[in-house]
Formats: sequence, C-alpha cells, structure tokens
Amino acid sequence: MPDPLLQLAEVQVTFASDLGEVSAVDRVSFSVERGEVVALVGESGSGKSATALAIGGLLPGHARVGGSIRLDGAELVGRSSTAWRGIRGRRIAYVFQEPATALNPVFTAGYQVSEALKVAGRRDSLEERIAALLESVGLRDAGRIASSYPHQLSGGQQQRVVMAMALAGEPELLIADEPTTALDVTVQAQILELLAELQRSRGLAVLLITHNLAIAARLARRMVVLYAGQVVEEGPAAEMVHAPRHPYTHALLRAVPKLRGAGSAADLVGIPGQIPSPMALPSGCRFHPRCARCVATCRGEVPELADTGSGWRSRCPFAREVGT
Amino acid sequence: MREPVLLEADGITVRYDGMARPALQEVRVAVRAGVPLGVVGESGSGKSTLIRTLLGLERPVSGRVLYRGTDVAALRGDALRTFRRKVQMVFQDPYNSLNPRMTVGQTLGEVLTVHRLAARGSVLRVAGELLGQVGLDPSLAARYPHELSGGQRQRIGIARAISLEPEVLLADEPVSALDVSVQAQVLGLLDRLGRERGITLVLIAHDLAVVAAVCREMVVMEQGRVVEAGLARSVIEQPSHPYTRQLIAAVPQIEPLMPPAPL
Repeated sequence: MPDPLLQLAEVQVTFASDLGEVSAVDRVSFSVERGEVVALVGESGSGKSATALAIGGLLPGHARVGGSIRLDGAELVGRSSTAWRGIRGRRIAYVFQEPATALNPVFTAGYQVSEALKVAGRRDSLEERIAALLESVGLRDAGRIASSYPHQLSGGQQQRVVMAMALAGEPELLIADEPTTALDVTVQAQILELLAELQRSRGLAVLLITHNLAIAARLARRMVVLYAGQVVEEGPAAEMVHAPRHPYTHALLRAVPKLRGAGSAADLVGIPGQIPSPMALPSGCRFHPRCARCVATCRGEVPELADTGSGWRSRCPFAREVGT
Repeated sequence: MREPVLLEADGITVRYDGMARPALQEVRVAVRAGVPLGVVGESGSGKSTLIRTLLGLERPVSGRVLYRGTDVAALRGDALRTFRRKVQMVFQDPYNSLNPRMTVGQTLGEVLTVHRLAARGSVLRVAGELLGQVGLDPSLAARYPHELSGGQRQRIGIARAISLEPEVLLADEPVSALDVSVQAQVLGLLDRLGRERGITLVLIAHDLAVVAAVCREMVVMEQGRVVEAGLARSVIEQPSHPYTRQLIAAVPQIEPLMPPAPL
C-alpha cells in the first residue's frame, strides 16, 4: 500500500515557558490520504492549531516537536530551514482565520498573488497566471480584484485572494485553520463550497481545522477530535456526528444550539466546568472532571486510544455505550 | 394583554460622517417587558449601531429612542441616572471590557459604590453574592481578569451588569468569543436571569441558532434596515424575506438522519 500523503505518528509539541515545559500536543497520530478532507476538531487548548503549525514547521523557536510527521513518506520533523524549500507553499499550503492579517495592506492583491507564484517557481506569464488563479477561486472580475488593495475588498474576497495565493504552488495538501470563523455566515457558506469544489476538481487534500462540528461533518470524510492536546476520537465524520463514541464528542454535540426543533436555552446542555489549562492537566482521563460517565478508574488510569472497529478509534473504555 | 414596552426605537435613522448610506434607516424595534428579543444580522447590518443608539450613545438624526415612553435625549438628572442603571450592556469580548489592573471584587465593588447600591462595609459581601448568582465561586473576587477563562470573564461581565438591577440587558454577541462547551452555560445563565430576575434580554447575534435558543421574538437586519420581525420560531421556520431565507440556508447544520429507506 502506498504511503498516505500525510502521516502523523506520536507527534508531541512542547513549549518552553517560565514554569517549565508545557505540553500542547500529546502523542497525536492520524493521517490524510491524497484528495481526502480530514477535519481536526477541538476547542481552545485542544492543540489543533499547534498541530497544524507543526506540520509545516511553522512553530516559534521555543517550541519543540517530537514524533514523526511524514509527507509522502519523507520525514518533516527536524528539517533545516533550507530543507523546507520546495515543501512549504509548493506541496503544503496554508489558509488562516483572518484574511485581513494574512494580506499585506500596502500591496495590491495581484502583486501578492504574483509573489506567491514566484516563490512557487512560476515566473513566466505572470499576468495570465494571476488572472487564472483569481478566477479559479471564484473571483470573476479578476482584473479589478488584482489591482485592488486589501482594504478595498470584502472579507470574503480577501479570503478568496488568500486561497488563490495558497494554490499558486499547486499544493497537494491545503491546511485550512478556521478559514471561515471571521466571516459572515452567508460568506462562510460560499467559502466552504469553494473548498469542497477545489477538493473535487483538483484532487486537493484538505486538513480542515475547526471548532464547528457541523462544518466538519459537511466537508470532511473523516474527523479527528482533540481534547486538551490528545486525540479522543477519530472516525467517519458523517456517522460520528450522529453516533459519537467518546463522551466529549457526545457532550460537544449536545452543547451546540440547533436551529430547528430546538427547545429553549434550558434544554441546552453545556459541558460543566472549564477546559483544563495545559499547566494543570487532570490525572487519568483528561476529560474525567467534566464527564457524565466518569467512574473511579477514569480518575487514576490514562485510557488508551483504542480501535473500536470500522476505522474508528476512541479514548474511552465505554466507547460502545456512549450516546445510549 | 401585551407586555408593556420598556425600550423602543421609534423610526430611528443614524448617520455616520463620510458614509454614503445611513447606518440605520427608519428602524422600529420594541423591547417588551419579559420578552427576550434577538437581533440578527451580518457585518454592516447596523445591529451594533442599534445597540449603541438604544443605550443613548449615538443620537439619531430622526426618530426617537423611548425608555418607558420618554425620549432618552430629553432625560436629565435623576431620570438620566435611572435610565443608565436600568439599561445595561454585556460586551462580546469579556477580556477587553474588564480593567486588567483591578481584581474582580474591585470591579464589582466600584459599580456598587458609584451607584450607592451597597454600604462601604458590605461591598465585599454583595460582590460575593453576585458571583454566586452567575454561578461562580465567591473566592474569584480576589482574582485578576487574566487569571480567568473566557467563560468566567463573561460571567463577571454579566455579574457587573446585573449588580445594578437592570430592567433591560443588551448583550452584543455575548457567546461568540467563547468555546462551544461554555457557550451553552452562558446562554443558560442569560435565560435564567430573564426568568428569575425579570431582566429582559436583547441579544445581538450573528448565529441564528443562538437566538432561537434564548429569544421569543427576533428582528432580522440587513444594511441598516429591519427586513423581518416576528416570533423567533416562526421567523426561523417560515421566513418570509429572501434575505432571512438566505441567512437560514447558510447556517451549517448537522442534518438529521434520514429514516432508513423502505425495502
């Protein structure tokens, strides 16, 4: 069997701080196949953004990455900065949450796309390539957009320009970190549709980082749920949102307000307590202080992420009973 | 009988300098006692301007804001102080709305002292009670904002607002900066305050599902105008304006499972 496009094995991210080493990502493993959309779902402190940045070697200097991250079988962890050339922007590209901060305010959109093309080694017929890229992300009036400065564009147009820049190097993997969180809901729907379209038409693999389970279920084939730096559940996205196998995923689904058929706020079930600080992680299962199913062993023993059948993994010994 | 109107935008138009289009155009919204109201719209819809105008922070160029039937622009002295106390605000970002150099107890104590709601000796006790009412441990009074989580800070913002025993609580995107697992707690708290303390909530949100969970009535705003208004449930289930339909269709939802196909 060929290697998956992206494979993370036992990835750890620790940050040096005044209080010593703080673990943000703890032995995270999952893979992304060619042309596949995988969602990495979690709340603040889950380690989803640290994982996303670790893949492209974008973490700051005081972060340490352990474990293995392979792209097409080639190890990415521990690369020197020159060894990243030909990978970042070429094979792996990123789209972040705030398009306004991803774009430079003093250059036109067209200039910034041309820079991305040059970095990707495509220096010939720039004008045509810029127009083609902008059109491929649904910007019909490419000429006007190219000569506009970021502040002259709407949030949705800005995010499309950022996506055009990401596509300049024709990457195999797009890492989209909360790409629609800063956008209005109608614009969000358009950008999600564009992501799905790019995946279909270009065979692009997408690692979608999101806190929104509905978005994850709509776009992704598989979903990896993180809590306090660990994978708690991984499985088929469409099935997981209806029949999760970890109490955290289950509780998170119940905490999301529903548009239709919902009762009042009194029926909304939040998750009691707080997300733990990485400086003070609970013993045993990291979710146990907030878990409705917690029993004595959950406080003392660290549960393993176990295979529960049909490509599904759960870090809960009661995986089969969750949601019943 | 219909509930009395507490706060009302009576056909208000608000303009900002240099803007081609008014931020609000002849907007009519009535906040009725005990009826939580949701205001939904995207960026540029005017929902934040509406809140600022209802608080008396923006002056409409035409139309009036009425508090219990009186034009707020005409309020002076005690009447103005009462209005400022009875109409309170909870902000989106609880971190930016708390003074980082004051403990939680000092923040709450200052409000109580300024409005003479607690005698000097009893400020700490009253602050502790307020924390209890928003589901926080009274010992948090000694903490600074940076030591608290987002959900805790938003509860402090709510405690500060309710310490003045308001009639109307205007909340501008109060849960959009919070994690999903704590959003439900804060929405539940806002809902409970309405039921138990008779505080009427005006909830500004871009998330229709959040409004559906907490509000009985809602208005939908687009480009400075109210395009649809009515019972929240009816607006969501039978939207009549094309923009409302577009907004509802855009909300990512987990589709209900289809029943198994017959054999």
